[in-house]
Amino acid sequence: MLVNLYVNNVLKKYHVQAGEFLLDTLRNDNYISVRRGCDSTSCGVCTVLIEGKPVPSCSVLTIRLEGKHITTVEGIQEEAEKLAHYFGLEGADQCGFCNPSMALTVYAMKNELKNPTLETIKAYLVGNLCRCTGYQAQHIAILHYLEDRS
Amino acid sequence: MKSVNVITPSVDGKGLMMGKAGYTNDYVLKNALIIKVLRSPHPFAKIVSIDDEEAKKLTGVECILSHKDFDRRPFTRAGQGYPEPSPHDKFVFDEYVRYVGDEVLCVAAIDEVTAEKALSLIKVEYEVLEPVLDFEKAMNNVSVIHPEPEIHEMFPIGFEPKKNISASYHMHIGNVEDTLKKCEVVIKESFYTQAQAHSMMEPHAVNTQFDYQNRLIIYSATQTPFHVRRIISQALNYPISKIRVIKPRVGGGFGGKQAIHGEIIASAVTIKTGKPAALVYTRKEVFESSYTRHPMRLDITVGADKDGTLKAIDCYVLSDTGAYGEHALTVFMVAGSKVLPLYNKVDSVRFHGHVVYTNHTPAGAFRGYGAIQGNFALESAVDILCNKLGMDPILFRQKNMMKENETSPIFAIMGEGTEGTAMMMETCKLDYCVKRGLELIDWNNKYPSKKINDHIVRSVGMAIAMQGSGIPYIDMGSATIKLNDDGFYNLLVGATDIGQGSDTILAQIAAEELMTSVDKMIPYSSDTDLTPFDTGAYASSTTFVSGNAVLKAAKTMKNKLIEEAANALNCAKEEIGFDGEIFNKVNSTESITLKELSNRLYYNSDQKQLMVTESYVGHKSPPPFMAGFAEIDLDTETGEVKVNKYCSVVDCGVTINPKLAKGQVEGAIVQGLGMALYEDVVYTAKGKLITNDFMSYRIPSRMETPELITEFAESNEPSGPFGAKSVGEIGIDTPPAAIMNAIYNACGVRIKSLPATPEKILMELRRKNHEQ
Amino acid sequence: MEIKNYYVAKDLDDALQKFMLSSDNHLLGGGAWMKNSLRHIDTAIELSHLVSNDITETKEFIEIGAMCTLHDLSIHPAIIKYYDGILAQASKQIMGITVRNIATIGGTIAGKYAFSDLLTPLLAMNCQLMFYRQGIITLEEYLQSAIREKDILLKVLIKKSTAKGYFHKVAKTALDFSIVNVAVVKDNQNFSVCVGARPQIAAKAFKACELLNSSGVINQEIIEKAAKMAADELTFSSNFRGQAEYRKMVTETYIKRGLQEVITNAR
Repeated sequence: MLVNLYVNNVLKKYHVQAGEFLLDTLRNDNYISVRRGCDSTSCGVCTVLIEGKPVPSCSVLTIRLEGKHITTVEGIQEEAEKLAHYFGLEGADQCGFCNPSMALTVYAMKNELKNPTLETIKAYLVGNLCRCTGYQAQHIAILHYLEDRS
Repeated sequence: MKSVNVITPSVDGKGLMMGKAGYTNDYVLKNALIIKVLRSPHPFAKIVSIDDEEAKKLTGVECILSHKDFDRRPFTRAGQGYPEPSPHDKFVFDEYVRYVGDEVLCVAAIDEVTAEKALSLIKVEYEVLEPVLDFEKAMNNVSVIHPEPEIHEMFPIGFEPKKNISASYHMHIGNVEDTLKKCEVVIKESFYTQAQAHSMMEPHAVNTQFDYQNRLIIYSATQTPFHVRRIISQALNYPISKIRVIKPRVGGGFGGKQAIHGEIIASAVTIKTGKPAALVYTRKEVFESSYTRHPMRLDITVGADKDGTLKAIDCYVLSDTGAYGEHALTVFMVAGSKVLPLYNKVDSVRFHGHVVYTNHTPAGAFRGYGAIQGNFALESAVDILCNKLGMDPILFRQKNMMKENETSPIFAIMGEGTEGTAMMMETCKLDYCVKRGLELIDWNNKYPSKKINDHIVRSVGMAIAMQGSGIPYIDMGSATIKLNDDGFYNLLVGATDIGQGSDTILAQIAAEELMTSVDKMIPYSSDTDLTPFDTGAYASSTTFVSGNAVLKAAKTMKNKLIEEAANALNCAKEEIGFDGEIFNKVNSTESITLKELSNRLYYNSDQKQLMVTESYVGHKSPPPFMAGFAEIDLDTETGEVKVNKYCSVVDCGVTINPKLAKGQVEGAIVQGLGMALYEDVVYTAKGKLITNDFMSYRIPSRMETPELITEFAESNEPSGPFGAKSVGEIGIDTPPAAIMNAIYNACGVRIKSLPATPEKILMELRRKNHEQ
Repeated sequence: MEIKNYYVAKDLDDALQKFMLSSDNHLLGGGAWMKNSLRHIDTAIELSHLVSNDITETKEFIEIGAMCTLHDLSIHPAIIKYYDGILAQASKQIMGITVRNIATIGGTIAGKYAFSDLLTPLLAMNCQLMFYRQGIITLEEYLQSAIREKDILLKVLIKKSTAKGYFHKVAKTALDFSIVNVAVVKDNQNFSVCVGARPQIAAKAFKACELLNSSGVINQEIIEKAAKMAADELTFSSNFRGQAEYRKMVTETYIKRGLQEVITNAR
């Protein structure tokens, strides 16, 4: 079946099977920043934005998304670079496998929450697992990113 | 210092966050066959027959490989130096399956759907055998997990497969039984640790292809590319000269990617079909069919005099290596060698035990291996002893622990699988670490505990720890530095960046010595065709061993540069001054810039490529030390524990990159907290792992993570590059003991089996209250 | 998992017919739990365009469309306001934001998931369910009915009330499933004490409620008695997340704390 998606504001036409998940559709189309971590909604690594909202692409059927706007990290390069800058200063990036999903979730949070506190940041990002950093350096970097209005 | 000990963003961080390709699975060719592995549903069985006729007929199935397709050539997947201290007890596929999830066969097909469909069409008949699921009953069990005649040890490691013993060991200094008899206070306790899962975010991945020279190219998410090359060559009897292993970016390893996973299977498929192939583990496979931390029982006896002088430590360890013996001996030995020297003033020590086979997921390397188990037992035992002595546990440690310029006879006796290396502690700031930690946690006002309300008690607990910096005389690192035109360098290292940032810190070391900036030192790791040898990212070796190799290479390059500058300026090299950018001839105005010199060497005069390679093998392994302090709130009505704060004070010498070093410590602390409190491993009675995904196996989320206060002691290790020791593992060691000590200080309950779930705490608490 | 066909229903009648055709035909909710609970779907029926995802307020009720996501639920002012926001609290503690952005209240209820953190507060609030065919029934009736009649859930109705509420999830980590969850509601002198994930599905502690409702003054003694009574009357069993005995112990503790809270904070 044919589905029309706007991926990072570009119209894409995908021929998909009924059971195809968005993660596979995007990876097959070379959006390789979208990565598979657990395949069962429990790690956050495959996060993309649908209409600006973070979702687990491993568990969203592509066929249900006709006409929807999908954002991958390729669509928010400037914001990702800015966040990466602060991650770099805190040594918070380590293996980087989950960082495109982190950039997307933080970006969505910035749009959704006004002046989030450390606790609300933690609560918003709790589904984004990280085994490398111990999280704290990420939080410091994210707070600095949110303060940067440039 | 310009580059070292300076905040420096990691070289790959920005690109990776912006979504650039980098990981193994990003380099799969579009026409690659997709491999799926059929795995055993039984913990122990013999394969009677395999009927794959239907699967073979399926369009798109390219090959099915099982034990019938391979010579019987045992090897070990452990990913260690050669000859390995692990038994050669694994075949590519075998007619026996030894745990739920063990490999039966593999299917390679044009896509994932076809491969999975093929798996479902294959019928395997098993003769189900009686499994060994309790590691305390494994030794001399009637069920022999490895009856096959071909398996062997490479040198004596106490391998007795007929008794289900993968390795065994015994050492003693003095007569521990005699000393204990004379001690005024003795305690004896048993501790249990669980099969923690690495849970790196990137699942194990490999892809393989033949290149235009018909060489086998393997992209692998590995910590040990050179070992992978050697092991594949051995296991498949394939010329090593025809194998190239490329390690791209790796999404976390923590020891889980030291050993081989799907690399052999994928290589076999490509060799058999001539086609590119890819194998990515599902998360379930990562949990069930890779490796875990070795579960252990540690029986520990410690004795002291009433004045608080520790006299003797006796430790028997029973370790469960699961179905195969990867790292069986080495992990077990580290439970002694990187723990017992902490208390170096005892009269006698004994460390002995067995590593047994069971029908569980194999155990392997995991950050802090052995040390975390041993530390949990010893540092818990010390608090128990202090309680019996009526002595302050801080004073006791300060009196008995290792100090600078001291040593322990254990260093000479115990190595990893072999004898050890005697060494003095040229740097050991443990006393500072303890003192500073006490201040940071505000120990004196909080110890042992205080009541917050009718059911919350706030308490503190602590532990000290040590690690190593590589394995002396075994771990070798090497580095190549190449000068390019315009005066920038390539730094080629076999050292394996797996996300810990080693590319960055090695570039910093080279840049520091060559007085250039990090952006002019382009690191590349690792590729067995292009980069020089390195044993790999394990045993806390990269900063110290590989870092020393890089420093040596940079020094040699500096000499060469000065020689060439002297040539260009027609003077003796002693007359050349160099600041990283400009070569000045003394007592003259003549000079040449690095840029000019490098261009001249490429294009104009006396042309040559400047490229140097140096190697380093350690003659010692200077241990990093730390003290860890936890503050917890314990709910006495529910057993729930909230960790409020964890203070770490670490002596790892000079931090090459302060923020990345902090990241190593903090990441490891949180993994240690996971082991202490959350990461429960549960099997069914029939030996199937229940906790096989992120919904049932709980690594700490950011909500459980306490405030982390991490500081480094001022320390400068003479044998380390720019004063550095390694820092990859030390952080993981203290949380189990520190948290258990805090739990005891809160409510008088001593948890001796990890993790300390609220249920265990509450049950113990109720039992204790009932007894009173 | 495998999905053979995807079918966009023309209307609710069409959806229901397709649904009834085969036990391998399923209605699509948010899909958050699909991969983990189903291996094979013959026809996945789309009805997101037919069932509301809104939260609306009438004079008497809060009406939640079955397609409302858990995230929307957790941030809606009315859900936060009534019953001390126990439904919002329960929602926001379920997994991460990404899952809450797809998982729906309808999917949770239709799945009758024993581990559910939503069913417990919903039951304590005595909510009602509006089905396409059966019309309105109480959640209590729905949970008790063993036979599942195929139907389409349209709305969840919560009676507006100044009731006090308490919800607590006992779990190993923030992301984990509940070992047990406890919801307590005090609506004037009417108490509702519910416990879920025991690990059986949410249930009301009737005897304890009766004791509380028949006691004029609720003092500490009554609270402790009621908490113990609730823990005794409900059944608990063991799984890898926790033993029955532990579940029972913490249930008693948190019911006690819940009752204390709804009484001390009483308006």
